[in-house]
Amino acid sequence: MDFRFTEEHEFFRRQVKDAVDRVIRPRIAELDEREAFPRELWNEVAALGYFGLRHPAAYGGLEADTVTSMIFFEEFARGSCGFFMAVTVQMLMGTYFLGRFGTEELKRKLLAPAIQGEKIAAICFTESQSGSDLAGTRTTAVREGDEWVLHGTKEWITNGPVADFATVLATTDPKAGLKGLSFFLVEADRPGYQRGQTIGKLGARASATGEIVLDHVRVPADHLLGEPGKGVTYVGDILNQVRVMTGLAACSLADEAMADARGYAKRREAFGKPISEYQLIREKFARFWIQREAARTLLYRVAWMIDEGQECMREAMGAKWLATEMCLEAVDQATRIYAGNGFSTEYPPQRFFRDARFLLSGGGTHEVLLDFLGRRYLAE
Amino acid sequence: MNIVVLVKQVPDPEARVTVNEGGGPDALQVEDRWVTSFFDEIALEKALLLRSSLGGAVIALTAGGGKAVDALRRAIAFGADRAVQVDDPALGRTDALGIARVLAAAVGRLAPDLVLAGRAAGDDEAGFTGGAVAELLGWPHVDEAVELDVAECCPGLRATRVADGAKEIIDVVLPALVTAQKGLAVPRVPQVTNVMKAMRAKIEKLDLGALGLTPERLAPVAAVTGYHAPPSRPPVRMIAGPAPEAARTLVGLLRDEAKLLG
Amino acid sequence: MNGEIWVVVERKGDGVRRVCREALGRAAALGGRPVAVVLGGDVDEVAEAVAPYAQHVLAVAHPLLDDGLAETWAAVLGELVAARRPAAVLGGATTRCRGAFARLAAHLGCGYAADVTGLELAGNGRLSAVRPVLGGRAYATIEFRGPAPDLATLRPGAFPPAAAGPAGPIEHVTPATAAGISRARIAGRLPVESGPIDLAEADVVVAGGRGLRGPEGFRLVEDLAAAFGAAVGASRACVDAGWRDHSCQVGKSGRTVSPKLYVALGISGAVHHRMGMDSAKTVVAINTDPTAPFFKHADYGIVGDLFEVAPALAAEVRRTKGD
Repeated sequence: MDFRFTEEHEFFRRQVKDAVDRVIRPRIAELDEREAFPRELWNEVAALGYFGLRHPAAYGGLEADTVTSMIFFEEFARGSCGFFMAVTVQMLMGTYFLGRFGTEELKRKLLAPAIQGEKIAAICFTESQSGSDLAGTRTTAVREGDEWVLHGTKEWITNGPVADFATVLATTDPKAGLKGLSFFLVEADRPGYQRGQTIGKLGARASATGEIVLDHVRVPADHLLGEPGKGVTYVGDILNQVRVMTGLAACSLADEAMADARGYAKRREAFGKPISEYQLIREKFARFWIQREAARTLLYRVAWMIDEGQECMREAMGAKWLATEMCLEAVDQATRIYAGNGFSTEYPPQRFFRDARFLLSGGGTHEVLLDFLGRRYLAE
Repeated sequence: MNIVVLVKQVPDPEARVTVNEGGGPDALQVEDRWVTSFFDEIALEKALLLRSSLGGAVIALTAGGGKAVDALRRAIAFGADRAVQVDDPALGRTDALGIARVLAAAVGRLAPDLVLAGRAAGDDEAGFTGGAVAELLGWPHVDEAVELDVAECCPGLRATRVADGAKEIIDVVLPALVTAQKGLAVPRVPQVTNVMKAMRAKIEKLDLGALGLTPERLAPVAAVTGYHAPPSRPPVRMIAGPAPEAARTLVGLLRDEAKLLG
Repeated sequence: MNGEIWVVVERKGDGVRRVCREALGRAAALGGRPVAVVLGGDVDEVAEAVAPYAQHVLAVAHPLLDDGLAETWAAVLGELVAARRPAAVLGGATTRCRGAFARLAAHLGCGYAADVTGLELAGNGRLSAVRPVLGGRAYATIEFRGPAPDLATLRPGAFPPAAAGPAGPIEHVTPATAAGISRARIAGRLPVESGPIDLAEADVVVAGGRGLRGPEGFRLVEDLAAAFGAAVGASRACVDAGWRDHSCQVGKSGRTVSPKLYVALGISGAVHHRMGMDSAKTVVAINTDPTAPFFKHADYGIVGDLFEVAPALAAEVRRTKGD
């Protein structure tokens, strides 16, 4: 066994941390307050080249392994949570299917500029009646001659209000349920593609989230990504990565919240001594540290399993659940350490508290994850 | 113009520092977190800016083993053309002057037109290496430059620094050494392609023999014999009350207790 | 200490920099013979000014020395040291002296301790120096082992200045070092923004931070500094935001100051900042946030609106000083 990162990984981590410290961290509070997609920051980060971390070199990517990309996500999540969401959609879900199944022409036209940050990507799963339950997908794609016609409304689309193209999950065979789902690439400038309302959010406010309405949008046949009916299989191929990424983001968010609270606990005095000297306050840090270590270790094990080509859906689900619950507990405890000030917008804990909620639903609701894991255990 | 930049890996300014009771040479304990020294990165950035306007190559140079190599990888990530590490067991037993001798010998071999360095390293903050290396090479040097450009009276450079409450403009003939002060350049955030390149970059290695130096030549002339913790300040005295009253109380304390304002 | 302890004297206006008197005071306390070494193109005035603080003055006049550049100072000092063999050479930890001492140490192969806050006599009759490292979070003791002299530059404000006594004799020395050795020259001098009082040697520093909310808020700092007769400092946040020139920045990436009194207005007190001022004797922190870290590292603290406290304090200081 070897739990160490390589020296190269450690070097890489320090470089990402340095970039986040200098480019993003000074603006976190401002990004949260502005509640808009930060185009300038987007361009600045895009210029650093990280968007292509997972993509082939032929399109400007770097072909990094899973562990390397997870190190990136973990450090990147120490910046703004909302901006993190916008960037991860661009790097993972929003471009994954295009990169894997897109024609050469589509990849030249969309993937290469997306890696440069010139075009913004979105991924469209959720609808009013479907989220974790993809079988509820109502958006349809119907073949007409050399074209597909897409019709439906997608909700909760990160980058939706600003995206230049979207990967859309639609049913090509409504009777087949999950086995009738397929992915399509839809450019935002096609007739019938409409950006709906931007949603006001509790947290992760530096990303723009909104509806995408597809009103009989016609796309060429080659915009079908992969084989029809295999959408759910393909989702499974990337969902483990999304879960590890989300779990590591939860670790970083919790870490930031507790490190901030640690500083506060050492400065803030009550009954004649710093509150950090009370056992009940120390206990909060102890519990956090144990849970964070456990979650993080499991998450990197899953990243390693992905690189090794091992089946790891169960572990990925469990790790994501563990990390996110740990994070929710940590941000709650951080506001308690701040007591009344934890409720004030002048202090950071409220932002961690709000942002953490956003990590709950990514990669499946916790109810769905637990139900699956419970059934799986009982079946053994 | 070919430029050598002297770089050093130092403890992260936010690393935890503890000094054990007893105070011997091993009393200092610093958390294992490292960064490239702040002013060295400024020097590196300036070197890269000069390269883009004047051409030539930028070579990063460091002396030391272990973590020292990360300063070189960082330099490659910035865009340096080459990275050279002097590593030898004898370096662990020498002092600042010994390191300066090593760096001067390596610079001598690389024969650049200009050497840039930080004005002081983030650990010992002595500001010694730049001047010492220049002296050993027999070159002129300018400390704490906030501006540096080609002089109109070529071949040379014009540097600006702040000393004695005035800005001094200094013309210097090449080859020369210049140390960087904050303001000379703003270090870039490296692009990931360069970061990946740095992870795999070949680091050129030299030992003392290759530089024509012997361990005896590096015998320390100034040795750290111990460390102690900084004196601690007594607990703060908080002054309450409305502004005019608090101001009056504070001035009274400054005058009578701290014996200031006399 | 047996033998001569030289102090390299720097001019300030028509007098002597205070740190040079501090070094002469320390030289006398160490038991050596304090010798002031005045270098310059025209040295008579400074030699006269420093004579009451030294037992002997070496007035070294040479046109090359006028520029005050490290290369020439080190060359001339090297020549004098070789001829006269002092036991130690001290100077102020100033830009000029630090550059010259680095070169001198390399030239002579001697030990050198920069920016020292303590200087004692070691058991072997040599010096032993104490100097801050890692931003003042630890202090290192340095012992000298190589050939004499022992070299050190002293942090301004760390030692009491010498008191005036009977003026020592002035000896004029003409160095043999050839003209034309220098390949650097001063092409001009311009004033800087930090104001008439030099940060490094100020008795009082008033510094402002992000809490002032903008360059206009910084007027509070200037006014309070004027009341105290203080130099103006700034936190990194203010400098990075462009409110002040970086020559005013106090902290890890800026200047290090050791005043008798340091007043921080609206500075949170991050470790980076404190590294530049932790050796101040008395520290006053004024901040709206009662949990600002600075209050843990100050002698006196006031929690309140800067825009009320600073003017009140300026008025009170003026009233007290006027008495």
